Amino acid sequence: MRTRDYIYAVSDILRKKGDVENTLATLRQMLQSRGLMKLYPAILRGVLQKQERTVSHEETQVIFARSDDTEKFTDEIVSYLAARNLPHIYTYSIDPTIVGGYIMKTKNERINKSYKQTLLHTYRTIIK
Amino acid sequence: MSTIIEKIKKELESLASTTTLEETGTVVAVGDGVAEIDGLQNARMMEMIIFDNTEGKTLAESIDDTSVLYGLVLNLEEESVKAVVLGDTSRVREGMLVKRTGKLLSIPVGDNIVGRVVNPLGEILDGKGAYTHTREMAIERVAYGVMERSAVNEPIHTGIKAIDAMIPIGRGQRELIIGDRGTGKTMVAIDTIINQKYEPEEKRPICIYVAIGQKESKTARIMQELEDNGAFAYTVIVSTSAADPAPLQFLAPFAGAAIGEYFMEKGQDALIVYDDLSKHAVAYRQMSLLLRRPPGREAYPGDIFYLHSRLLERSAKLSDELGGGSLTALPIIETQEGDVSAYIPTNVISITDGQIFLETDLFNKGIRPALNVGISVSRVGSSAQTKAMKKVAGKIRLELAQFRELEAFMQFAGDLDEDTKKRIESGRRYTELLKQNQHATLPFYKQVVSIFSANEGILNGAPVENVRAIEQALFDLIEREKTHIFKLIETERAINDTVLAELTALIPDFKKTHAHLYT
Repeated sequence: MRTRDYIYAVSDILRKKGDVENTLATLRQMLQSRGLMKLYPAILRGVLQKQERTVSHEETQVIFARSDDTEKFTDEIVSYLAARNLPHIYTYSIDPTIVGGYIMKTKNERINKSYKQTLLHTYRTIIK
Repeated sequence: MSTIIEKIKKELESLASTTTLEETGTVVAVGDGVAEIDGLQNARMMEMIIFDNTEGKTLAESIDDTSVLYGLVLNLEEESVKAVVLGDTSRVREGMLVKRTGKLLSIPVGDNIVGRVVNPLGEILDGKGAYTHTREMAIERVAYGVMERSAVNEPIHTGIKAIDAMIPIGRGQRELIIGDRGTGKTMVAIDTIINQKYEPEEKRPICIYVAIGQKESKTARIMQELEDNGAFAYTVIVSTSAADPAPLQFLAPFAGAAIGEYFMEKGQDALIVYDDLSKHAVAYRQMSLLLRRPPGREAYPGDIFYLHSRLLERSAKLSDELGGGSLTALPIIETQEGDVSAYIPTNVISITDGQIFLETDLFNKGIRPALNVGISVSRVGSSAQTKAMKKVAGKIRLELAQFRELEAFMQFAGDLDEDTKKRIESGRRYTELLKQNQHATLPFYKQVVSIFSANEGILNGAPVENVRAIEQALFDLIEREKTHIFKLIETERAINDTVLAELTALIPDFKKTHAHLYT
């Protein structure tokens, strides 16, 4: 079995049972019996990355260009979340590079209403 | 500049903040041209994805990095998706955002693509600016079914006497060109493209040359040769060099087939050359191994046959209800030391409707094109010949078959009887007659006259080394004094009794006036 297979297996068990200590203890025991302890750090790192990605997918994140925009687009964002039956809770960050508008990331979807995208699309259409 | 200003004005008029809902994923690993992506739960096989490298960059930086980086989804796994990067892999980073396009891979095609050099994604390589496209043709398509096709019965003339007389190719056929390196396979294909200039414009097929993993110098040379011979005006070149990533080399013939289908569906004829499918198989093997697909024989993936069969099945002659267009394929396979029983050659031989064998021994003996007519075959046969050629080709085939038998015999026999000696001499003259210089293609009416005259004895008594001079002198004479013979054969595509009588009467006079060629 490859490292990736161990990562997926451990992530699956953690998702179903949630018992971190016992799961890791069992994993260490198994790797020791097979002489594969050198894989343990890589497996832990992989599981951690997978967990972080899962958590970020569950949360709704919104990126605004300026702090003023957080009020401006609130209604729009809330109505979208309501339409998708998602909690009305989101975290936001400020990224001036999007020029204006907002980008909303939720699970594996992204609503891109940034001015940067519109301008980039316009530019690429013109120079085509 | 004024065009740019107009475009900007037009865009500003319709400018509105665009809202796009994108399904996204994240690159978790990338290497050797393959990216593993987390997310993209609804991605489809062969779907195009975009690696978004504008996140975190300012607008100016994003504009600087103008080219969009595409990927192609090829492995749908339980937890992730694997995609090949259709471009520079070094631009892909771990953690990079990836967006689905929702579109299967396609190439933009329009009438203006003719005379251009493009890559499999439709990007321009000749620096002549964008071409206007009218349709997006899917690169992977299901081939036409049985009921949508009609019989192959119209010839496509290669301009090479040996092929047009004895291994005739029809519009909609797949004829394999197979041989070792340096035997003239590409030249046969290029000469076929060049020869289409003799066809009337309304019947002339659009030619597509697909260079798969070739040296760029070779592709540039081919483009120059086509231009010098006036053939580039009706040719498209789809080019991937040896330096291009394996996924692009894998896509090249499919992109060429998509372009050919565009013209075929408009009711036109198209001719496509795949140069060569051996390199295509190697590129697909490389890609499959990197995608960790199980290797089979010679490390090729298990679906290597399906790769070529689904490509070549897209060549067809459509029924009249669908416009009657056709796509003729000339795939090229390179063998090693003449081994036609290797894996890939046998695969492609079993798919195609015939093969043209080119041999190194014949090439080295000076027989060029180095066709072995004994083992070359066209499964369509004389259905794809004009009446004129059908009338004259039978005898030459028989003469050469007898010559091949006697050629082996004469190495061992001592004194030969007169009849045998005559047959051997006749065979040698026919062999000399079938030699042709590079790019010296002959329109079919000249081929018919040449072979007919040889059948009627114009070469009898002539030294072998003078055969081609006799042929050229005959053409010059007819062009000077009897041009109507060529015109009649060209328009009627048959030899009527008048032409028959005139040509037969011409030969004794020719021999008298050109006696110096017979000593």
